[in-house]
Amino acid sequence: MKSWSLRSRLFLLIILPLVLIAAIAGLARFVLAERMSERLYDKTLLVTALTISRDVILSEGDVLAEQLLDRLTNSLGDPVYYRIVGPGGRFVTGYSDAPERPKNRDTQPGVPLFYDSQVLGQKVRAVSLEEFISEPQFGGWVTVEVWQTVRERENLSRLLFLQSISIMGVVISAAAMLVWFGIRLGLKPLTDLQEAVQLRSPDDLHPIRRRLPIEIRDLVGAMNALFSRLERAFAQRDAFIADAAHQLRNPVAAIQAQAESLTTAVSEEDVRRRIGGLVETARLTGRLTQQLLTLEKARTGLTPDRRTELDLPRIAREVMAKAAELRPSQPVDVTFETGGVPAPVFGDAVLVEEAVTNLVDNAFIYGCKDGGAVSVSIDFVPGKAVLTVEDTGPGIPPALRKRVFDRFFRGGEQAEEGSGLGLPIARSIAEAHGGSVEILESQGGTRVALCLPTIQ
Amino acid sequence: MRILLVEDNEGLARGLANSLRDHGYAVDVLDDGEAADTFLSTQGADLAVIDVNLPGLNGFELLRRMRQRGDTTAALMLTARGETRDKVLGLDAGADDYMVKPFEIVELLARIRVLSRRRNDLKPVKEQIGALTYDRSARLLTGPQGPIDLKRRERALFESLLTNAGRVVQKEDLLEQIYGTGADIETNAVELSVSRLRRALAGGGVAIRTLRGIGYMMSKD
Repeated sequence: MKSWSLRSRLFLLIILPLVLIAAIAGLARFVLAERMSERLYDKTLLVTALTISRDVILSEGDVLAEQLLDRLTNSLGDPVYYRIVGPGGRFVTGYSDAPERPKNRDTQPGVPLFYDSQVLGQKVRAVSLEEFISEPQFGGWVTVEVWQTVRERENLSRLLFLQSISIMGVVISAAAMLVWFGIRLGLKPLTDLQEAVQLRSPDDLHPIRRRLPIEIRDLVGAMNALFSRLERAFAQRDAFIADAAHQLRNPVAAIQAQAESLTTAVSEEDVRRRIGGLVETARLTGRLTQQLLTLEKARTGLTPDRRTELDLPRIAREVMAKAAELRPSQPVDVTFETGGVPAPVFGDAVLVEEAVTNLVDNAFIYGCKDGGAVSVSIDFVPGKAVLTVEDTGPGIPPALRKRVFDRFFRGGEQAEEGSGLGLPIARSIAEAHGGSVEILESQGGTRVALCLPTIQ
Repeated sequence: MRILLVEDNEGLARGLANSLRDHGYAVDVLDDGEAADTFLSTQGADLAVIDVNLPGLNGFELLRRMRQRGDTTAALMLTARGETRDKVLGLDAGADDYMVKPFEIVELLARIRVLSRRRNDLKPVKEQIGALTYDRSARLLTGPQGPIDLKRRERALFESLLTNAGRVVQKEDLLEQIYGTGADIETNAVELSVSRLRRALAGGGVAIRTLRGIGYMMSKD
C-alpha cells in the first residue's frame, strides 16, 4: 500500500470536502439568485402589460405610440411586443405573431399567466392577462399579451453563474494555500524531531528531551523507552563480551604455560603429571566456552519451535545418573523423589537439562567434595514444578546468597574448578521459561530451588 | 575390536584415535561421509563412531544407508551440543548411542564398552569386574573363593548391571529385564534382589551403588 505523506493526507481530507461544500453552496446561490431575477423580470413585464393595456384602451384601440415602446425597450433592455384582443374579438391590435401559449394552461380572469415560448425562432418570456374594462363603449373582457426576448435575462444568469464560480474559486484556492502552508507549519515539530534524530550519532541513545506537542508525546515516549531498553541491552552485551574475553584469557594463558612447561620437563613421570594438569585446564576451558554460549542463548531468549513438553523427573533422573557416573569414586548418597501430580513443563529440553545439570553439578562439586548426600526432589503444585537440590556441604553464607547469581562470581577459594556461570545460567534459563531459581534457607548445606511453570 | 572413526575435525579425530588405540582398539579414521560409506560396505568395522556434521554425506545419511543395506554395525553418533532434534533423528536413523560435544574421552570409552557388551557377537565370553569373572555362555560367576551360585533373578540383575557397568541402570529398566515387560511387580522386589546380590558378591571387589528414586550402578569397588 502506498504510504501518503501526512501533509497530503491532511490536505486532501480538508480540501476535498471543502470543494464539495463550496460547489453545493455556489449552485444554491446561483439557483436562488436566478429565481429572484426571474420574479423581478416577471413583475416588470406585468407592469408593462398593464401600462400597454391602459394605453391601448384609453386610445380606443389605437396602436401604441412608437415613442412609448422605444422607451420601454430602452429601459428594459429587451424589446417588448404586445397584442390586445378586445371583448368578443371586436378588435385586435398590436403584433400578429403572438407566442404560443402552453396548451394545458388557461388564463383566469384577473390573474396573469407567465410562460416561456418562442416567436420567430427567438426565445421569449410572455405574460397573458384578462382584464375587465368597464368602459361603456369597449366594456367587457380584454386579453392582453405582452412578450419580450430573454437575451438580457440570460446575460444576467450567465453573469450570476460566473460570479458564483469565481467567488467559489477564490475561496477554495485561498483555503488550499492556507491549509497547505498551515500544515507545514503545524507539522514543524515533527520535521524538527526528524532532523534532531537524524543528526544523532549511532551510539547516542539518550532520551529525546525537547518540548513536544501533546499528540506526539506518546510516540516519543515509546521511542525513549525503546532507546533506554536498547542502551541497557547494549551495556549488558558489552559487559558480557568484556567479561567473557577476560574469563577466557585466563585459562588460555594457563594452557599455554602448561604446554610450554612440557618442553622443559625433566622426567617422563613429570611429563605425565604436567599433561594431566593441561588436560584438566583444557576441559574446564571447553566447559567455560560452552557455558558462555548457553548463557547467551538463554539471555537472548528462546526460539518457540524448540519448545516441547518435557518430563522434568526423567530429565532430573538422567542428570543425576550422569553426575554419579562421572564421579564413580566420590561416595555420595543420592536420593531422588517426586511429590504431587506430575505435569509436563513446556520448554527447551537442552536448556532445561543444562539448568538442572548446573544445580546438580554444584551439589556434587561444592556440596559433597569429600562425600555426603545430594537429594533432589520435584514437587508438582498446580501451575508449577519446584525442583529442589539439597546437599550436605558447607552451604552458602547468607551474605553471598545474592552474589552467587552474578556472572563469574565464585564463592571463595574452594571453587577453583567453577567458572562462576552455573547459577547465573540456571537463573537465566529459568527466567526465559517464566520460572525462577532461588537459594533457600537451610540447616547446613545448600538448598537451591528451580521453579518452572507446568502445563495443566 | 575394530572401530571406524568418521570425524572431520582433525584435532579431535587425532586425539580420539590416539586414546582409542591406547585402550587397545584398532582404529581407522576417515574425514568424509562418502569414503566412510565405501569403507563400511567393503571392509566393515565392529563399531562406528560417526560425527553428524560431515562434508559430503552427513552422519545421519551415512547411518541410514548402512541400515538400509542391512549393516547392523553398532553406531555411536557425535554432534555439536544441544540439538535435541538431532538426537531424535539419530536414534530414528538407527544409532545405538549418542554423544554431545564436548564430551570427555572417559565417557566415550565407557559407552563404547557398553555398546560392545550389549551386542552379543561382540561380547567377550568371559568378563572381569573387580575380582569377579563371569562366563556369559556358561552363565557362571566365579569369585576369589570359587564359583558363586546366583538365583535366576539375581543372575539376570547381575547381567544387566554388568552390561552397563559404570553406568546407572534405571529401576524401571531393571524391572523390565528381570520380570519382563508389563510385569505388575512392586519396585521393592528389585530392592530385595539387589540386597541379595550384594550379599552374594561380598568380597568380590564390586560395589552396587543405590541412587534412591533413580536406579543402581555397579562398578569396581
